[in-house]
Amino acid sequence: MSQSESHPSADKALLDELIAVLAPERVSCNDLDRLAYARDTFPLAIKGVAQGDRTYQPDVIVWPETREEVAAVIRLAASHGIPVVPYGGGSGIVGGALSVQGGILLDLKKMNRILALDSLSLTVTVQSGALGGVLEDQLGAQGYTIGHYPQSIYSSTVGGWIAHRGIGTFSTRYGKMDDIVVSLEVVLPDGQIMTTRSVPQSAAGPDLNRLFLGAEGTLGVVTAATLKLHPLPEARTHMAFAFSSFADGVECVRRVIHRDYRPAVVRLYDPVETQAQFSSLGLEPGQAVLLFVVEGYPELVDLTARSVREIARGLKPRDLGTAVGDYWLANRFSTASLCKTLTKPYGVADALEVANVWSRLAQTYTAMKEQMEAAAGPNGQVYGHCSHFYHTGGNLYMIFHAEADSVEEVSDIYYRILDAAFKTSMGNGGTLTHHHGVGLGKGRWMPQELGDAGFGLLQRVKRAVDPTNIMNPGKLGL
Amino acid sequence: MSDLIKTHGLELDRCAFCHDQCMSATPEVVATGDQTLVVSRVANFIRLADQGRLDWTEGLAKRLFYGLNDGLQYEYCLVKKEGHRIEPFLRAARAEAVRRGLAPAAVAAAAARVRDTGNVFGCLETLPEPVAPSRGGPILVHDAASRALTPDALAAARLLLQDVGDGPGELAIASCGMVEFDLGYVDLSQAAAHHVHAALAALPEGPVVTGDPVLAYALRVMYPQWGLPLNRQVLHLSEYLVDRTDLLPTFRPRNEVATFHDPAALSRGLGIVDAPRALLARVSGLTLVEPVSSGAAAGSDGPLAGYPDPAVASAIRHARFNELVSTGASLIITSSPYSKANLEAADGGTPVFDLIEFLQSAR
Repeated sequence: MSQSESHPSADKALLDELIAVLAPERVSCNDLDRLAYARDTFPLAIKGVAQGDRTYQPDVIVWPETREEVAAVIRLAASHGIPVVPYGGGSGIVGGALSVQGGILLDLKKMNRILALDSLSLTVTVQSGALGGVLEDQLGAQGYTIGHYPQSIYSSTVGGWIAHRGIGTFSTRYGKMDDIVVSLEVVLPDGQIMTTRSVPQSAAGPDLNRLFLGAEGTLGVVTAATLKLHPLPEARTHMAFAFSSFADGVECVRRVIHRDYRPAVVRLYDPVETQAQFSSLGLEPGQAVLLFVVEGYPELVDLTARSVREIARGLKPRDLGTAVGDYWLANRFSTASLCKTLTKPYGVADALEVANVWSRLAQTYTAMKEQMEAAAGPNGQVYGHCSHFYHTGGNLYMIFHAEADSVEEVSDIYYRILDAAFKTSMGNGGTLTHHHGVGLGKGRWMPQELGDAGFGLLQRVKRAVDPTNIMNPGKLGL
Repeated sequence: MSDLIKTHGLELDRCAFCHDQCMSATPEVVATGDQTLVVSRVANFIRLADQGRLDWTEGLAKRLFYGLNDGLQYEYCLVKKEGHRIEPFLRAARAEAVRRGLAPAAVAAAAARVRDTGNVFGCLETLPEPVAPSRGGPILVHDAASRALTPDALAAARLLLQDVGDGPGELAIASCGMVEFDLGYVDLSQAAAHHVHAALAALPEGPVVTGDPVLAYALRVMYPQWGLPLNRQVLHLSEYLVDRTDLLPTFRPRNEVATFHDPAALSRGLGIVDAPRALLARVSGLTLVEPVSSGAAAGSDGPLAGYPDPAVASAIRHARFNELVSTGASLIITSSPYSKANLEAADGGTPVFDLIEFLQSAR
């Protein structure tokens, strides 16, 4: 059905009020704008919008430029009792920025300025709508980096990183957003503006930063953040090995981490992904490739690289030299294979990321792969890698491609695979999500993830902070 | 229904289902924060309109004409190495919008100027007769862009070509047809291109040189695609001169700090990055500092012509200008009439020179 340019059901009074606090050119209920914002990077939303589906379209889009404007918009939304959905780059893969109940979509990308840079304390304060790629370029020109390089860096914003507790590919050295955030500026659901202290540590009760990290805009809108900085690395080296099994690779990484070495990048590919990504290496089936990228000050890079190599050799892998690292560094931001599957009429693909402790990591991988393959059926493919590691364990990145028998069944097979994956992960003591967040797509598993008491507590927190449930409703399973 | 999907379906799908890694490199999105200008959304609008699921409207057409086609997006494109391009479907969709009478006012006005004067700048000109080169020398070709936007650079080019002593010829054309092609006016574009092709065919053999990288790109890359091969070398002036540096005059020392802005058509289009810098290196005392983005990844300086939103164009050129002056340079050098005009329009106080004009001033 063709759509007209205007949105006849837009509330005229609300529009007038929004225009009064912003400006006419920063408020839109235009049909094309609404369609453009009816998707983020949630696979089913991408496929839906490509068919012209408008299930997740907002009623109005606004582009605030200041925290005061954000506060004014939220007060208006509260007075009208309509939802507000914060939107950054729309790179989230779990549907966290979808307008499931219409309402006002708050595109924060005009709030993209660096507000302060403290070169002594190594912090940068930046508005939350800054695009990652642009921000890193600006910081790099001054000799700094945040060290947060998610695969989506060129299409994601600081606010999105915080909302979903994002983690970049160099996280084993630079940390995850939980570690990188120093302080936050948040507009609360009643329009108040809250700023936490920019200090290295505080024991003044529970950490309020943590209340908003991973809240996905359900408790307020992050409008600025102070983040940790690092000087640009002076040295970088990389090495890769082929192990006879995925479990041997996991053991190698555990030994490295437990010796307190922190390579920036650690990526262990399972045998399927190893063959797909590195077929030119001529590896035997069943082998798993492990890549380390080490960067920082030269003396530490040298020590870490030598030690990692020595630890790896204890497990007798094949040394692959630098080819794997060169390839990865050149292609690290590409998600082209996922996108390609989505272009198939009945195709669907996603990358599911869970985490578990060392003692259960390898078994969780094996179990998830088995269950996901069963759910994906004969036309499906499941493979994975680990790419973020900690003292107590690591993540599993399980990627699947599947094809349904009809358009109508795409959603069924998608959720069938997710159900198999998450129940297996949680059944093995793992988590529902490691760094993509929950959004719309994973909400149904939140009670199992948090348990009855935990999920009940989250519901009560939501009701207390946002009693009229205007902030990004339908996310986190709330 | 048009044939957009039939002809460009693969490229449209690749963009429409994409994860938008080109967003940080899309000048309009960085300038406005508007998600509707991300390539994936534009591609989806085109698909849906072509399928009859979305009306062709002035609003849709306007969004088609935001894209700068300057290629910066490809530096981040997930499927660049598979040969993916957006210009073909964007130009085809623009042509469809024009065919439907939906061209934005600025675009239609640009086309009207071409119809009235032969060029997008509306310059009423009597073009001089072509001058044949002697001794196999080059033919300096220029269109209204050089004459309207950088006349001093054009005069400097004549002098420098005399210096290197090959007896240059000269061909003044109204338009090479590239801007018209980008704007979806295929008939105007092809009429201009055929005229230029015939004019060059009437001249003796010898390389074509030009200080305008858009013109060089058109002649070198697009004309063969349009079935109008020139069968002669097409060179940007910087390429031509850098091979003849021993014949160039000695330049006076310039104790200044300069930065070079790589025009899109020069760096990304023609892959020419080193030649301008090599020429500048011949000016003793001149310190060249690089901006945050340079070479093939250089930020956009703004559109060529017929852009639908002056405020967005202004934001783009100001962003680039600010990036260039943040290097601490006291002067900005570029090598394209369009780029020079865009950066000068930022009106930021730092002088902007065309490369050839600057070299001439240092004689």
